Amino acid sequence: MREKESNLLSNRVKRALDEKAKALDPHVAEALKTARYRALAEKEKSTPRSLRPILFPIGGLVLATLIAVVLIFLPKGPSPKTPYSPADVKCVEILSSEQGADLKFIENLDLYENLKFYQWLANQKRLENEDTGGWRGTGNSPLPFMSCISKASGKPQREAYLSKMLQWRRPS
Amino acid sequence: MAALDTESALDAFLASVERKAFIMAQMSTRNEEDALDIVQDAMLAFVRRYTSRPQGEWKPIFYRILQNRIRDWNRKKALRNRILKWFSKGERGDGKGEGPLEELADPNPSDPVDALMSKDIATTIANAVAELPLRQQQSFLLRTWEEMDVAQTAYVMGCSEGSVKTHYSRAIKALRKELGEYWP
Repeated sequence: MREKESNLLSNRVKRALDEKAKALDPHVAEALKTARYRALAEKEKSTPRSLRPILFPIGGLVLATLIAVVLIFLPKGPSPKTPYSPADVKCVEILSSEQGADLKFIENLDLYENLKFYQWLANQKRLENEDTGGWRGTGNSPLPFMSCISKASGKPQREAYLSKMLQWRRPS
Repeated sequence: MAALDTESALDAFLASVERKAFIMAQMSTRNEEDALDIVQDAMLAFVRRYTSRPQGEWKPIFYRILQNRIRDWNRKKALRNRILKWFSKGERGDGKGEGPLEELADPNPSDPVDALMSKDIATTIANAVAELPLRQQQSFLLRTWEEMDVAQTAYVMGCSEGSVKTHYSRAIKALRKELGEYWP
């Protein structure tokens, strides 16, 4: 019984409110329409449809440019290690050429092993000359002597140069 | 193309609910301008945030926004009235008597006798519904006028289904008492 009454009331209220909605004042209906258009315009403003055909290709172009720039300027990783660097190859060329023959003495370690002996020998000769008063050397630094030795090319030449030097330093 | 469809669907949806929304807001606020503002705010909030949702969900979402706006308006009004009442008491000094707001004439008299004397049954019923407390009014209008089920009404009102049933039954009881001889 209560439910039937409730349904009847609901129907009556519904009809009454529908009539009231239909009979709204014209200025209220107009204001509602304006509010609706304003809301729809707000949606349009958030995503302007007229710009979409332009914005999508521009976005794609910008993205492609960025990717290209990154790929071009990205620091490359270490290249696979070659067995010989260009400098190594150049050294080999110099050493194997005739012009580089004067550097071949580097392979002969005897000179370096005996350098101290040669220094000692030179000093001994100098002291001997000083004792005898016949020393005419330009200085007592071993450096010019050593540099001269290192300039020597080949063992025979080096030995000849050394003996010449020793003779030159010997008092006449 | 899809955007155009969505736009026209949105236009049709808002056109279908705007008048009901206005009447609901007006019943609660009893002020035409405030009701229009509330409906416009609800429309804007709905369009900005929820149009990407499936169209089947639009109605409950829109009414939820609307009811929240109506509730906010009522809270602000209650706060404003409390503050004004407090100030008016301070001015009177004795704390007795009615404040200036109470002394103002009600622009929409809701005297049951006047209403029952009216020949316009629609206005009488609308006034009776407008007299209901806010939650009862919301549950009654959503269930009766918008024909929402209890679950949808609970979602719109932001409360449990049990609360909806309670508010609805109390609204029916109050209307029966208010409408008297107009009761079916």
